[in-house]
Amino acid sequence: MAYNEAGETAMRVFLSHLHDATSGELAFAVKDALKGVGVESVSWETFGAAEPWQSQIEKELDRCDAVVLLIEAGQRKQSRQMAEWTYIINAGWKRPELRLLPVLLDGAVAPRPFAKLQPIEGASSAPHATAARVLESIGRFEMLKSASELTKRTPQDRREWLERRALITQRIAALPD
Amino acid sequence: MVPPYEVSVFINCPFDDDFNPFLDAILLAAVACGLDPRSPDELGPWHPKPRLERIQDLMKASKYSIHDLSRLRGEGDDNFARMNMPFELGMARGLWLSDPARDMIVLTDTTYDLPVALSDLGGLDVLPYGSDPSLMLRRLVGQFAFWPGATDIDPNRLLPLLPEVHAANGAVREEYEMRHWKKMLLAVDGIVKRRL
Repeated sequence: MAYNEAGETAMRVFLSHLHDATSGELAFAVKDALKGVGVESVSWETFGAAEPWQSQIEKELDRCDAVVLLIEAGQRKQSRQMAEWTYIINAGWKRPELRLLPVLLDGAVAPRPFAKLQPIEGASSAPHATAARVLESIGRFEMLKSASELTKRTPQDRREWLERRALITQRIAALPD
Repeated sequence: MVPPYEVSVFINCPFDDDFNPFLDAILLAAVACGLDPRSPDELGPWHPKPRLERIQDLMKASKYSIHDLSRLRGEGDDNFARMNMPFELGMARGLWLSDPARDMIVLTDTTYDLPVALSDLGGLDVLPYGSDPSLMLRRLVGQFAFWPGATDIDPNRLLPLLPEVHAANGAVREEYEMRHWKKMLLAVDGIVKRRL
């Protein structure tokens, strides 16, 4: 397990969630469960007002061992969580060892980059059961997929990329001189 | 075949020399991720169609857009503000409202100025890049990862290409004394083809 025998925090988790009541309740349950086993968690609520959240999230992600992503079904784009996700992806490129755990809530589909990881399922109506699942997965820390998965490309990916790029090259060539 | 709309990204950014390193980062990130950067400049400087119509047409033809809002302060002797970028962001937002499958990235130089200059954007995912083209490239590729039309790529593979792209596009800008969109794209496309 990821905490020491003295009960001191040996692991730090960033919890990414939407800024609404449903996600908030679930996030609270997850934080509570993690705290119960000595894992410290941070999320946007813990950010101070004196510094822009963008700089705070970068600092926090640099200090975390894992990121838990609560992903809601039909999540509205252009929310702050999209930007948060971009920072998480950036942190993953910087530190490929960073572990990522997507939690798909209420039948949500993993956004493209997170589909490469090993998501677990959860329900916003059952915050404690979902928190228990998160805790179980975090407990198997070594089994969690790391951010290095984000940059893996299959031969099929490469073929599609080459085809797409060939079309774009043709379009550029057809532009007026 | 992928319809051009699905991979087209409209570029709304300052057109000045100081922005050139950042434009190069945008072009490299987009082309490397299999996106097609679009600008009203692509039709050449003497195209008869009014610029606003060209912008409208290209925005409609692009599923994605990138908006840089780094020029927030008055400039020159008359201290004029540059309003094209926020105006075009508003146009793109209008299109997004009627078609939420579209997506956009809003970039800013610093985190401090935009909430004051354009407070209506509060709560939106604006990405600051701190006057650093390589950080801008990372931010862009990170957001492209969520766009179905783009291909994932490790930005650590792209960063070494940035000086090469800047040199090549600098040569184009010097030769044509303007930002020749087609020539710049061909240069970036060639580098991506050779190096990735």
